[in-house]
Parts: sequence; C-alpha cells; structure tokens
Amino acid sequence: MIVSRTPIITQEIPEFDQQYQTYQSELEKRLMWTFPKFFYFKKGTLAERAFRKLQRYPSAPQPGVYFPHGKPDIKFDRDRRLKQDIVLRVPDEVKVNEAGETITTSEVDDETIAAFVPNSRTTEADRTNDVLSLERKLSRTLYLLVKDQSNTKGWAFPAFPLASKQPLHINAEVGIKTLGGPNMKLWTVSNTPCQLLKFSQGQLAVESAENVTREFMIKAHILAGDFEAPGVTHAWLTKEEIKEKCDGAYFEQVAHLLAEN
Amino acid sequence: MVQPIHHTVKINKRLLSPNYPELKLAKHDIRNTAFKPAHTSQDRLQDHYTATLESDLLLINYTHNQQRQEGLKTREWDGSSPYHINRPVRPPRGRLVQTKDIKPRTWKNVPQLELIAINCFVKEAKAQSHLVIAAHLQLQQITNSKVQRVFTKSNVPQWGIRKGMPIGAKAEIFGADAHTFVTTLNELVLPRIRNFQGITNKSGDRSGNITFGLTPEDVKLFPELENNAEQWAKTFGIHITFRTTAQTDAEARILLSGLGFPFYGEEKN
Amino acid sequence: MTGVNFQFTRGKRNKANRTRSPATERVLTQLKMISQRRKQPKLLQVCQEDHIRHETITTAFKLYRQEINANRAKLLLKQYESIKYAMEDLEQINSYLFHEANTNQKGKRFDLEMRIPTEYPPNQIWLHDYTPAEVAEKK
Repeated sequence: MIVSRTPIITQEIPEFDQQYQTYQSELEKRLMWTFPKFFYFKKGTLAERAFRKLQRYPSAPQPGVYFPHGKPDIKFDRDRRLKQDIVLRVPDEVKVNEAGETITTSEVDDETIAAFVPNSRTTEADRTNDVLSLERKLSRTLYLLVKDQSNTKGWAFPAFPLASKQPLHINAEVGIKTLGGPNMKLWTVSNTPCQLLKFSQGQLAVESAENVTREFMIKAHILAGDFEAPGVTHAWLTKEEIKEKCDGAYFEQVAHLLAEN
Repeated sequence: MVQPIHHTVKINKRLLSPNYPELKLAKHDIRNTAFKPAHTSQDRLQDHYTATLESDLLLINYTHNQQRQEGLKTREWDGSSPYHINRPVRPPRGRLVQTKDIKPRTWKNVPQLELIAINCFVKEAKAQSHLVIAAHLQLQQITNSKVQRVFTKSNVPQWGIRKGMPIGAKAEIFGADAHTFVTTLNELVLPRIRNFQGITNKSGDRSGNITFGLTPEDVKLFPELENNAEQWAKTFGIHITFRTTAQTDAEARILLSGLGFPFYGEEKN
Repeated sequence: MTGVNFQFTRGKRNKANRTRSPATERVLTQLKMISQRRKQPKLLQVCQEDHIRHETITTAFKLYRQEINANRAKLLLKQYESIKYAMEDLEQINSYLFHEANTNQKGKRFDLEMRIPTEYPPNQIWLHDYTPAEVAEKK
C-alpha cells in the first residue's frame, strides 16, 4: 500500500517562476484600470482620509513647469502613463523590545489590532529532521515506508498477505490498520491497483521467473492520526529521500507513482 | 503541374495585406491592446491539481478493457413512405437531442476544470431596468472579469417581457481567475452559508457540466461585497456552472469534490 | 425608471442647482464603476529593444513550461501503463479480485479534509489524536 500525506502548504516557487511572476504582475499594475476610490471610500469619511494619507500621489502638471519625463496625465489621482500602487497598510517593521521579544510597529501603535504574523513554513520536525513526524516538509508529498524485518527487501512500501475472499483495497486497508494502529484516518483512492511488483525469493523477479509473489499496490492518503507501530521501523519520506534509501531496482518500479512535489 | 490549392487552404487575407499592422499582432504580443499578463502569482489550485488530483483521478476513472460507447444519435426514416424524403431528421430513441460518445479514459483525458460560467438573471429588471446595472457590477466585482449583458430573446406578454429588454448579466472565467473563484467559494463563502448541504447530486447536464445556485443572501458573503457592505444593500442570486472535460456527470462530481465542493443526495447518473 | 427622480428647476440647469436622489446617485456610481472612462491607462508603448527583451523572456518561460508539462504527461502515461499492466495480470490470476478491482465505485468522492494547500500552515498542522467514530462509540 502506498500511503501518502498530501502537501499542506504551497510549493516552493522556483527562482525563474518567481522572477517571471514579478515581471508579469508589474505589467498588470501598469495595464490595470485606475482604482475607483469613490466606490470604496465615501468622500469626507474618516476611512477615506486614512486611505488618502497612505497613498503617494503623482505631481500635477503646472503651467510653466518643465517635466523632463513627460507631462503627467492625471485622472482619478493616477498618472495614466505609469503603474499604480495601492497602499492599504504601512508594512510592519519588526523590532525587538527591552525584554528581547520581537514586536511589530502596529503592536506598538495600537494594542487592540494584533499584527498578522503567519505561521512559519518550516516546523520543529524540519529542524530536527524527524522522519517519523507527519509535520515535516509541509510543501511536499510524504510517503510511508517501512523497513522489512527479514531485511531482504530493505526499505519498501508496506505490504500485506492476502486474506481469502477480500478485495485488494479492503485487504490493504485492514492490513495497514493492523500494522499501524486504528487511530489513522485513511482515504483509499481507488479499488484499482496502480502497480504490480513481482518478487521471487524476496528479490524483484525478472519477467520469465516462476513461483513469483505478486504485490499489487493500492494508493491511499492519510488525513488525520498517526502511524503508530512500536515494533516496526518506519519513516515519512519525500521522493528524493526514497531514492536514497530504497534499492535502485525497486525505486525504478515505483518512481513514476510518486509526486514530484 | 502544380495543383491549385487556393480553394483547399484557407487564407486569412487580413494577414497578407500590408495595411493596419497593429491589428495583426498576436494576442500575447505586448504591443497588442488586448495583451493581458498571465502567471502574475502562484496558482495553488493548479498546483494541487497537478501534484495530487490528476493522478488520483486517472486511477479512479480507470476501467479495464474499455470500449468506445456510442451515444444516442439521430435515426434515419425507413423510407416506407414517400413523405419521408423531406421530413425533418428523426430524433434519437427516447430523447430529443444527440448525446456524445464516451471514449476510453486514458492519461490524455483526465477530467479538468475548463471554465466557470456565472449567470445572473434579474427578474425585477422587468419593471426596474436600472437593477441590471447593479447585477452587472456585482458579477464584475466577484469574478474580476469583463461581464456581458443579457437581453430577453422573445416576447412573452404573460411574463411581461418584450424582445431586447436588458434582464441580467453573465461572465465566463478561465484559468487563474476561475481558480481564485473556486477557492473563495470553498474557503470563504460556502462554509458560512446557513444550512448549506452542498451541491445536489441531481445537478448536471449528462456531459460533465455541473450547475448550482446561490441566493442573494449567500452572494453577500463574497469578501468583495462583504467588505463594502454599504454599497451592497441589494444583491442578486447567481447560477454557477462548472464546465469540465469529464465525459459524464459522475466523473465531473468526483473532480469537483477534489476541488473541495461537498455533494448531497442520491446519485443516479 | 422608478426610484430615479427628476426635478424641475427654475432657469438653466447646471452642476450647482442640480439635485439628485440617493438612488440616482447610486446608479450613477455603479455605471461609473463599469465604465472604462477615465480609468483606462495610456497605451503601453515599448521601444524595439524592450520588445525584443519581452519576447525573449516570454519565449524562455514558454519553453520552460513546455518542458515541465511534457514531463508531467510522460509521468501520467507511465502511471496509466502500470495500472493497465497490473490489471491485465490480475485478470489472468484471479477473476474475483479482478472483478472487485474493476467495478465502478458509485458515489466516489474525495474526502473534504483533503484541503487545497495554503501559503502558510494552519495553527494546528496535524490532528494527531484522531480516534475513529466506531471505536469512540464502543468506549
């Protein structure tokens, strides 16, 4: 059975993508319609005053004044030749107070409004490299691997012998619950197996081999709970880590089933 | 001899002419007035689809030894009567319109969200035509796209409509806009609707397009309207259609559940 | 139009003496929002050098995306072939298991707890003390 933990946070953006996105969003700002302030802020209200205070306005064309970069063309407080940046809030400055705690400027100014500080994308499990934890590598798909006790297969996906008169996916569900305890919420993707591995005497068999043991793989996602098996060595690993730990021939057979992210 | 091809190859004469070069630019050319920047930010729904949903859907929809399933097609008249010659075409058995063939599911046709069509029909606009403007703006605000106006197509005196009256608005959104709309619906709007059960399993047009509706009260929960509530004393209900590349409604529902939509009720087809 | 008043004034109507009802004002604001008038930016004009730069960036990104998509398609094809291989073998060795694996699971849905990834993790990253409902009832 291939049990995976799907990503919890978004993927790391490659540098090229990041640069391209910045370029495109700047173009978008240049080509967008002017922000219609009159719709969101009624004239003469406190909100409008606060908003106006935050904006940086272009200078208006004056008679007799020479503008070296062209005469400004202002409509609705925007120079139509340039991009428009809307400032909704002064970015918080992070400071350290006397007690050594990090605070932001908005906390200093107004205690009632708590500054929005998002949770860290890296966790405790990442720092300690705890492969038993499901809280590691939040942006990646993790897969459950167990170490074979007899040590013939080495690290591999958990496999269970077939009980009589039971469909493959039910057998896999029962098997994983017996191995890892009942306190796991699993969602089986399908009743159809996604791969077949053939073994003979504990090794991956060649096509022509006889007396082979078949291993049908069923996909599942873990949604809550933990895999708790005291007697079993297990780990939650990404695709690259699986490549390092597993036997080369074994990895080759399963590599295409594992998500790149 | 060179065979003449002028009547087999379609030629766009507009592109051959040296006139108006600025009108011949490609849509993605930065000099074109219709140029719209794409990939302005990370699309987390698309990433989720490619990383997780796509391969799962391939496995879920797989059936061994699949054959192409013929859809219902129009029939021929048997020619037993001379009047059959000019008769309109005979409809398919038990239906009025033809249905599509169902092709084997492979890696090439994994269901995908194609576009979202949002339709807003304003009944009150019969008497108060200015309400159409508000409906138009409401769609523009929640979809971040160019909205089209909708006019009545025919005269129906009993309903009090004449041909050509403005009666609502519609919008079609693709790509990143559609993905943002889905995540807004699933994370901010639908969870806060009282007694919201989900999309009914009866919805669907048999070829993989699912529709559901939101009442005017539900629409108020969109953050674009909620944060500017004083302008939105009156809102309008909308119909949302998810057009997918799925071949049946059941497959489309599996895809939409993967995007986070709950479903309820008995599923028949 | 109902709700939109029109008032007669003495003399010529101008900006100073015009009165409009709040309803009219609202409709006018809405029309102003929809209209592109005064909101359109100036046409973007790029010199030839900038245009070539832009084309180079766009083409590079297009090729980069093409490569990623081709790899994805290749992976998906491999997955399809491995499913087919497994099912062909299963069909030959055990008809019961094959039938069970090949039946369409009616009403199959993704679990709603499979969330779309967010930019930052939630406060509780993982629900560790999960107990299935049946077990909890028995206790």
